[in-house]
Amino acid sequence: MSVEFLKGNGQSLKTSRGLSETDEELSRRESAFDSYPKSFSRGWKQRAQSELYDILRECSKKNWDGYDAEPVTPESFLLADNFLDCLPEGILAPEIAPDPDGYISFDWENEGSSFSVSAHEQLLIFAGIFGDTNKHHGEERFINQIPDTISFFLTKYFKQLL
Amino acid sequence: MSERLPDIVTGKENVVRYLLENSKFTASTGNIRHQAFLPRPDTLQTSVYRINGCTEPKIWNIGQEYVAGPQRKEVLARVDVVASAIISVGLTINPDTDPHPRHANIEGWPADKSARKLKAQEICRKASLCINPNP
Repeated sequence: MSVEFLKGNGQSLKTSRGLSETDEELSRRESAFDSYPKSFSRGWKQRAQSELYDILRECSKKNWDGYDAEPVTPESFLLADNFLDCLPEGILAPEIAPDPDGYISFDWENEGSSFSVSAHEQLLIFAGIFGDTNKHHGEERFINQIPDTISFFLTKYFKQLL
Repeated sequence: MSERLPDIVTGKENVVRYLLENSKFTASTGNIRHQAFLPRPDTLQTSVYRINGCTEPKIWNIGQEYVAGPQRKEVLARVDVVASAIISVGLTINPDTDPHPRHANIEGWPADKSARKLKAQEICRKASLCINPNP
């Protein structure tokens, strides 16, 4: 059985896997994404979610980067989408890109600081350089709430100026 | 293909990482994402090429012929970095002459992904992006 998800840009994404809970959840989110009125802007989160769909579509096969990268799966998409949902308002928009292991990273750059968070199963893996010498990396348990450590870095170094 | 390079990559050498897809850089800002240097997940190696003594056309030709061509892709950009920027974060650059005498692998990546991300970010800070003028 194959599953076809219609994307907001009119293109479709097919998976050859059975209709699993992941597929159903992906389909539900797709419907929610498409149902937002065009006049209602969710700001960068809406754009970011659109980018996530692009990544899922473009990087769903092994070796998508030419260096034997693992495919981005519906499961890794959902992990990233969960993380996106939980990000606080008032921070700068992240750049979103797939990692070679098939998970998806959210990256921020601002005034000499860089920070990256990858969404894994119940885990966020992060690394950042803040200024010239202040470096941190590690992982934090993640279940639908941004951990304090990551929230601290985001709000301290990547706050959106009003 | 009779190029003779030193057996050891010293800190003064320059290496390049060819980029075949645009999620690893932003052309308009020159920003290089750390994913450009993250290693293959199965081998924990990052493939690079040694470019000392190469002309610009030759650098691009190596990337097209030995990296992008076999995959039926185009080299969109390359990242140039001096080897010392890689060695200084505790990684090594080991020559591996397959598929080309100038090929090498960045090795010594830690098992911990967060540590790999940090090292890749540090390398990016000292690297420069070159967009392929003839993609």
